Amino acid sequence: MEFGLKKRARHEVKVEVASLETKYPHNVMLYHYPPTEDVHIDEFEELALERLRLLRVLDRASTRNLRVLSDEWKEIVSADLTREGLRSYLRLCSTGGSAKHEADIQTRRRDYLSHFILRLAYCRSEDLARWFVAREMELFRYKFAALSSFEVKQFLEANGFEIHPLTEAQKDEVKDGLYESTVGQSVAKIELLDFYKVPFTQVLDLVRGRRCFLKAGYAYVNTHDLVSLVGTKQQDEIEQGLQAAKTMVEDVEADERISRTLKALHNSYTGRDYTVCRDAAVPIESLDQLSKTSMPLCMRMCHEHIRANHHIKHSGRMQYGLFLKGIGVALEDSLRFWREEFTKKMDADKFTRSYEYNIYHNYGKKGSMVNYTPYSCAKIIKDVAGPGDCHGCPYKNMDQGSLKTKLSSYGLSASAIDEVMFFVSRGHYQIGCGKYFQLTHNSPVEPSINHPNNYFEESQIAMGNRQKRANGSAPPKARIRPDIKGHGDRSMLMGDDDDELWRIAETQERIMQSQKDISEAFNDDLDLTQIDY
Amino acid sequence: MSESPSEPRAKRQRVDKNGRFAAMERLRQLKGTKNKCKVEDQVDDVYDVVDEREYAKRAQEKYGDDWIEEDGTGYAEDLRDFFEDEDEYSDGEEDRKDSKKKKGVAPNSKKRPRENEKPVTGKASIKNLFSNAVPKKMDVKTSVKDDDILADILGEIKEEPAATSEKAEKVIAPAKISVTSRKFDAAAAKEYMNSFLNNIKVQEQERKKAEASSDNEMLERILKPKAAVPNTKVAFFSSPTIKKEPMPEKTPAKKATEDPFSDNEMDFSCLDDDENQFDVEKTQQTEKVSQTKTAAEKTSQSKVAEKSAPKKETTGSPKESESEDISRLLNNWESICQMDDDFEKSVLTTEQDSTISSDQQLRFWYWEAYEDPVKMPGEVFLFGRTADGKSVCLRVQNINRVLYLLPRQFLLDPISKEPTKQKVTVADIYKEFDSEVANQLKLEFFRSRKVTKSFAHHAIGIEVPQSCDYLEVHYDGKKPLPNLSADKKYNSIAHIFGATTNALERFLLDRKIKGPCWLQVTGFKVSPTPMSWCNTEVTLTEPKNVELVQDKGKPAPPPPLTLLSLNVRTSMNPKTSRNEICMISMLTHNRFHIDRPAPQPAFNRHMCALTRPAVVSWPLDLNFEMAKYKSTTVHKHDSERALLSWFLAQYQKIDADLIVTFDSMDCQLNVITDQIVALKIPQWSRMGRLRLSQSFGKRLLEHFVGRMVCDVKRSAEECIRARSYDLQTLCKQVLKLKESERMEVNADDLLEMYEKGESITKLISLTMQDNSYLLRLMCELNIMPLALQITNICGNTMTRTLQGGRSERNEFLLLHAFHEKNYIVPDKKPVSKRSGAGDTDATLSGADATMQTKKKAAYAGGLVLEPMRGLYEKYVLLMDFNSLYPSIIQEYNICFTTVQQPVDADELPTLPDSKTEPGILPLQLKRLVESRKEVKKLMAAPDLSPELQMQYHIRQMALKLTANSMYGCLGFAHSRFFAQHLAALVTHKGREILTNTQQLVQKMNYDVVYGDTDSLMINTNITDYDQVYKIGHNIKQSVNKLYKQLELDIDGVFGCLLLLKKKKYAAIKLSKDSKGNLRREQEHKGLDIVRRDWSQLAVMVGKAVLDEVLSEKPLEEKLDAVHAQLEKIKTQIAEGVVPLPLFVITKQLTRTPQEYANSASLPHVQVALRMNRERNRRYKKGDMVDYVICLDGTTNAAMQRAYHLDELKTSEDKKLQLDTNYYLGHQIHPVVTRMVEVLEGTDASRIAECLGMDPTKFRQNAQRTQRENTEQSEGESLLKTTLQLYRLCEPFRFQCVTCKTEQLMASAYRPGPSNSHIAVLQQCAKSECQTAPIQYLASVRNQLQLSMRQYVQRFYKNWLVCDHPDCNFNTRTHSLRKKSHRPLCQKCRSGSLLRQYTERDLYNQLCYLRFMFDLGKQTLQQKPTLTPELEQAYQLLYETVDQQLQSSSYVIISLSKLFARSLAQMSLQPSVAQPQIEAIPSALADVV
Repeated sequence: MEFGLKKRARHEVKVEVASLETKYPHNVMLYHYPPTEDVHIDEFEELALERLRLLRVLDRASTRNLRVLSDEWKEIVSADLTREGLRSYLRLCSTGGSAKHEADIQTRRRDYLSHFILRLAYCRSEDLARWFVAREMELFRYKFAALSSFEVKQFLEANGFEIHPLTEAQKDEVKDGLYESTVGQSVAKIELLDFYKVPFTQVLDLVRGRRCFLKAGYAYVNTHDLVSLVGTKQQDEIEQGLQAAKTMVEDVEADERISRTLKALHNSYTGRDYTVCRDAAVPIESLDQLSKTSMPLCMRMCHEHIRANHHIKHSGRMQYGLFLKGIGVALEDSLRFWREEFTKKMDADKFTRSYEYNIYHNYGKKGSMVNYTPYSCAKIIKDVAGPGDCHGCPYKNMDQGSLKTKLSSYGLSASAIDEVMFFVSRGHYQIGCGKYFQLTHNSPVEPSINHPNNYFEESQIAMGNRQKRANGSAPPKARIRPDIKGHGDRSMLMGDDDDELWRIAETQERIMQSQKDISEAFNDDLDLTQIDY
Repeated sequence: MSESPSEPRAKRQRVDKNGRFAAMERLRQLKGTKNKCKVEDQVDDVYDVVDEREYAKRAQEKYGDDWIEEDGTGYAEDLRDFFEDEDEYSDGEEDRKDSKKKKGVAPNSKKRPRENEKPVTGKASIKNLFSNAVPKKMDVKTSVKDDDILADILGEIKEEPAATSEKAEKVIAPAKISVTSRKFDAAAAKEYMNSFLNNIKVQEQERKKAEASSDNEMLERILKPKAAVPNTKVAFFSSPTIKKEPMPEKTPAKKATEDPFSDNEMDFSCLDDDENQFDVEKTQQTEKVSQTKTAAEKTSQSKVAEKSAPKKETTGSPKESESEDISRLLNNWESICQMDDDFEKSVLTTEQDSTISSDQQLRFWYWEAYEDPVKMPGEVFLFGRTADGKSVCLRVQNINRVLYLLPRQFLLDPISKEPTKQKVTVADIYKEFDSEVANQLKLEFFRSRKVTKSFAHHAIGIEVPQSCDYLEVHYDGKKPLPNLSADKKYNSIAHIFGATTNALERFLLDRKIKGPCWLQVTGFKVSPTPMSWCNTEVTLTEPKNVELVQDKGKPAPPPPLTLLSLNVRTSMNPKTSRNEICMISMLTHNRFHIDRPAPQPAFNRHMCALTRPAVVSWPLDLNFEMAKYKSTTVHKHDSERALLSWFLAQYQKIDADLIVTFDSMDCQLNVITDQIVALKIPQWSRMGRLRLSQSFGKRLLEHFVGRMVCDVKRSAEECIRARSYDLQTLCKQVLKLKESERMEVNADDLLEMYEKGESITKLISLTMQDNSYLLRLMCELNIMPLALQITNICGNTMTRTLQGGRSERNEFLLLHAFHEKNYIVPDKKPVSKRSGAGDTDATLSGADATMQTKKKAAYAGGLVLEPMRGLYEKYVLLMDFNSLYPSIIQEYNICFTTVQQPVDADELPTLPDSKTEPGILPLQLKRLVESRKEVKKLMAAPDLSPELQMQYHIRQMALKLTANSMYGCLGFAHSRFFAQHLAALVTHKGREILTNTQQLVQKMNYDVVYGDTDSLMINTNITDYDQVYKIGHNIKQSVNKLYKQLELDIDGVFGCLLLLKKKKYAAIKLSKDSKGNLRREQEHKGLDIVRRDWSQLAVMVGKAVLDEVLSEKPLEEKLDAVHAQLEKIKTQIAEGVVPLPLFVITKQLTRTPQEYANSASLPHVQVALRMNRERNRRYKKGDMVDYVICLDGTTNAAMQRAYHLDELKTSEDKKLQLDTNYYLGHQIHPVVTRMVEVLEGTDASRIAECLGMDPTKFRQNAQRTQRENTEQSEGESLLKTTLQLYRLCEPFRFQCVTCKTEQLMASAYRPGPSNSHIAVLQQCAKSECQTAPIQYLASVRNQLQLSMRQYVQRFYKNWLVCDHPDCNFNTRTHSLRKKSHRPLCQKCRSGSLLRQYTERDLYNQLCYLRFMFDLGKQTLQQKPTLTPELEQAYQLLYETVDQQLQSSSYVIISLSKLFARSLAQMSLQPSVAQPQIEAIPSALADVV
């Protein structure tokens, strides 16, 4: 952290800002030249996460087996984008063109930068790279599809494609061929379309799909299909970029400011944080009811398991306990809940000895004092459970037969079960879970579930018990806080971060005070200061 | 204590029952004559030769059915054997009784039920028998009485008989060794340790108590008599009386019984008390015999003699004169072998002439080959033995040099040396060779012809066509090499191959001699003047006359060889500062069958010679003691020179084929040769088999020309995996000896031992014993048979195999293969001037080192998958590829002949077409693999004799070893077949295969939790053993169908796996026995607890914790148990119940203590220095230093408070006290934490809490690991709440100007009562104070500035902290030595330094400050409304921080810098795109 570089650093930034428009002239750009500007550390992370969310939206759409760019696909993507608070990207993808609006230009910049940032994260393994390229290509096609013929021309020019639309005369020569080869377009429309003549080797997929007119080694490609040509180029570009990024990984690793973000990015959870529930208190007495109505299958099974066996294994306890914390069960209640159940099978002493610590621990009150985060779907799905375990994602862990029985015992109709199973059998557990939600809540839309607490929340909202939050997953800034009800010490549970900070500060202060000389204390405990890395 | 009591008996071969009585008789007659220690008597064969079964039968008859007693120790039977022979020396008796008196107690004698059967009267008869020889006969009785008393006492103590016998033994253990009282402690510690692991159960504690009491009692008893003897000086043995006693006895037993080595001779205690029994039995027997069989004895004896050695000359030998020596009885079994010797000799003398004069054929088994390329070029010596046991030296002369001249494509212009247009013809080459080379070399004669050869090795710097015509030239091997230097350019010859090939290699390749085998020689001459020390020596001028004996059917087995095992004790002569030899122990066997299971013991003669170290003089009682000492023939010499002369004479007489030593290169042989050369002992070359006059200097092995040298240590390094390879460890691991059964004698002890006669004899015994151990190790490890097999497979020489030169083995294997396939073999690199078999290993080990460093950089090795840390309680499947690399070579047909070397060294070569003919390397491997399969098939045959079984097993082992090491020679830079591209290709394929397999397994929906090079650990997530196997088979099938050769197989199932790090895990391996029961077995890899540099305590607790973690319990119970364990140990340490030795930390001095530069931070060095200074110890390089960390009243760092245990014990008024906190915090805590921190539900601070330490101290650490964990795990959010972000930051503090109260600020609004909030700037923290902070805003701002500067300063102070949990060293000194990017900790040298206050900390802190004033970021729901002034004030302060923040370059990430490389590449790109170089194929156009 050098403070000496003050002037230079700021100076450069300003220069960059001035030339933004020339730098990002077009919505659709081949990501060829790496960005050269400086970004703020916060912005860097923000960009990375934003892009990740964007790509994940596309990923979700593609897991639904929708054809890319079909109307349905577009619909889902745009709905998702809106919900994720990525409207600017939606605009980027749907309006096309080269608008000069400041906001658009900013978005282009974000798009450009974030793509390159993600390259650094996704070059690390072949799997990641494959996923990244696929999503990026979807995004590219999405963007490209929105371009008008003029803009396509512009784009081609700007990016040095040496191809030009056929002149009318040229077009006339091959008119018949074009008519026959262009599917699903009326003759009139074909007249209006621009066609490009390219060596057939550049559009092999069109040739393979018999989707263009081929003559004398040249393919005649219309504007819409041009994406296949440009896309290949784009794909090469990205793939090469990833290769190049791979060589940079070491440098990136050395930069502790960003290495951690980038390393964990691909499997980070981008949804809301449920570590501390701020919304409502859930009395443990209502858990039975809630488990039937509002809990996702994984949690419902845990709950039933506890009620039936009065015991649950550690992983299950972690999963369910943290979930309960996330939905708003206070520490005291939680202790009471577990104690009541467990002491049916063991004496209270044993419970105190073996389990209490753990619950305190989860609430960040003992041990390392880390307030544990409730498990997200990704984590639960990853968490494989064996026989006798009840944690993990039931959609994944249970074999189809028993899952079906389970679902039908929960009152799903056969057809509904089939609907759910359709996704489950393809390994899309979260969608299956969403489907289940939709079916059980009779909700018109199928929410995308990525966190059990998210499921719970959605369910509560759908049932009218809670209000919908303002736009999704961005860290909530101003949130409406319902009246405090319920019992127990809510300080941790409900407390504001700020209040908690005060509490920490005061405890620290007390410790400090108790030692006579503060500076000495610091020197003595040098190793107490945080060791980072 | 041997595990299987009956086993050694099974190996017994020759036993005599009768002769001994005769001997006894003679002994009695001799009594009184002064008895020399030198006993080389020659006695008639006094033994019956009985076979195994016969013996058992007889034994059975003799002792009744219960003669093998189940005292759990298994020595009953052997002890019996001891004293069968014991009676052979009566003098020993005296000593024994003597000591018995002193000792008084023989604690565990009553363990043996049969003893009770013996009437005590028997003892009396002993007395009678020996009355004239033994002065203190009454002692026997007293001692026996003592025994009885003790037996009673013990009888009372023991409650469960089974347990007690064991217990009693344990109890005695300390006493029997008791080298120092320390050792006793050690035993107690061990006891404690064992009990610790069990005594969680309360009931066991009782038992322990009982044990302890018996322990004390025992000790008391042992010590009391000692005190009673005034003479006994308590020097350094706490109980010397006991000590000295067993020694003399043990070795006789060893010698006499032939098989005690499989049991623990070191177990003095048993010997102690058993000898009483011996007496009883002995006398009974002797009595009986002497009464009844005296007459018969003579006849039987002579009969035996006739049988075994009809031609023996019974007179004439000088030893015969001593035949009357009393102690020949003692050694009567030796006389057998001696007789054999004579027998052989006589045979030799009679037959020698006939063999040689017959001039037709000489058949012998060739063992060793040697050439001296400098002095005797073109000659090779072969050494071996004939079937009738004569040693043979065959001198083969006239081995021609063979050159292969590669023609140039175009003739060079003779002057300009530029290629002309003229093609080269064979005639051209011939002409040039004739005129240029032959002239230059002054060849009178050479032969040449045109041959077509192939060439496949690409790394010689010139283009060689795959196959072309060469001119093959033979000329006299005595002539020098042609000029090969690079500046010599021949006009027509492109390259000369084969010039540097030495004669031995040419000979072996040409004659296709692959390792030791029967050779048949014709047309030889007997050398007139002997060149060698062998019995037979012949010279052969025509190499072709050496032929392999082609046997039809089964090949004849090798003849027995003669082995000599050496163990030498040295002491440093301070004057000359040389190591001088003071004791040599020799064990020999003259009919050792390499192809059969080794006899027990593996020697049939033994002797020992000693002299005194330069610094001591002989003790007065030496002669007396020596006279008593009967365990072996001892030869006393007054000088080292005399000793060595004697040694050489013996050595020559033995004429060993095989020398066995331990650590020969660095220690034993080195010293011997050095001293022999230094002292100019005449005819030193007798060490080898060639008569040489000049010394070789440092080339150690060349001193032993013609003899194989087996270094047990080195071979063990190759054969097994051990923690270390010193004799102690190996004995423990391989021979299953207890630590107490062997005693290491260091230099100090040695000198001390020389001070007293009895300890000298003890030293002799120890030396002999070590010697026998190493011989046993050699047999146990099957070193020789394995080496023989490997040598036969590879075709190199035995010595080289024994020296472990793997690359050379493979080299020879390939040389043979290439030679057979008509390939030109690559030349040796001129760098490593090897001279064939006599090569020193020094170059090799040096090469090894360089290889390692080079290899690292050269190409990537195996792939280690990132482990998914954690505890797996479901079954984990362990699968691995059977010999991955050899299979890859076969699978992809990777060979010199098939894979082209890429132009760019970093590039991977392309794989050969699948249609390509398999290359030589894959073929060789295939051969090896298939023969192994064949052998295994043979092994599966149902009724296989164990002998054959063993042979097959060794053969398949050898095949496996060779196949697996094949890959190594590709990557070994000094190998002749070094081909880095191939090695890189192989490992690349290996990585690829592992990744593919991993993916495939993942696709099958199983988790791969870890993988290393060729193995995968797969979490099956079920707990059904058979099911897991089914899964394994599924995976196996689906993987294996992808490959032809590669084979994934199930290696095992882990019931529980604790995966900590790469190469660090512990697991419970499950296996099913025949009954279908699951067996659980712990397996560790790389854990702290297997490392030595932790205290025993930490290791013990670590083991206990690990046992808990791996036990079959739910996780919470495990954690419970772990926590309980820790709490228990905490209280125990606090109470001081834990025995001291457990606290000892042991470290080895890797150099002389004075040589350490930074001794201040190395506790063991400090201790060594202090002990040397103050307590007259002599710690030196290589010694292990024990220390404990104590509180000494100073505030020094723990590492500077290390003391020796003795210092602690003798410290006055408790000035030194054990630093228990250190042990809790720095020994137990880190060891345990590292193991359990991956478990959910506990962490470092919880562990600390259990250990009674301040948990907050570890909170940071725990949080860090926690964070790392979450970052690694999936599905965590990267977005942090303010709490998560700022919880570790410090709040802002400022002082109120009026009331001077410190104001705390954690966020913009201070929480007030009843959920209200108030802006901090609006009101003073002290409610009475009326001044609002906003009123002194300037001051607040100032204070803010100051505190920010303070943080910045703190950052720039750059305090570093060591990340090693038990070091935590704080420093500001930045070291340039790096450990994975970070500076290495200068103090502990194992951790790396981290910034205490990192950039991120500072950044977070500043962000936090900024956040406090950022009203928009406050997450309060109901914000109090603020006046504009207040808002402005906040804004002002916000900007103050922001300014500071923005002026840092930390907050700016320069993308241009990040992508700089990419940008640079882009600018280069157009020029980069160039076609690949296509030079090679065109250059390979055929020549001629």
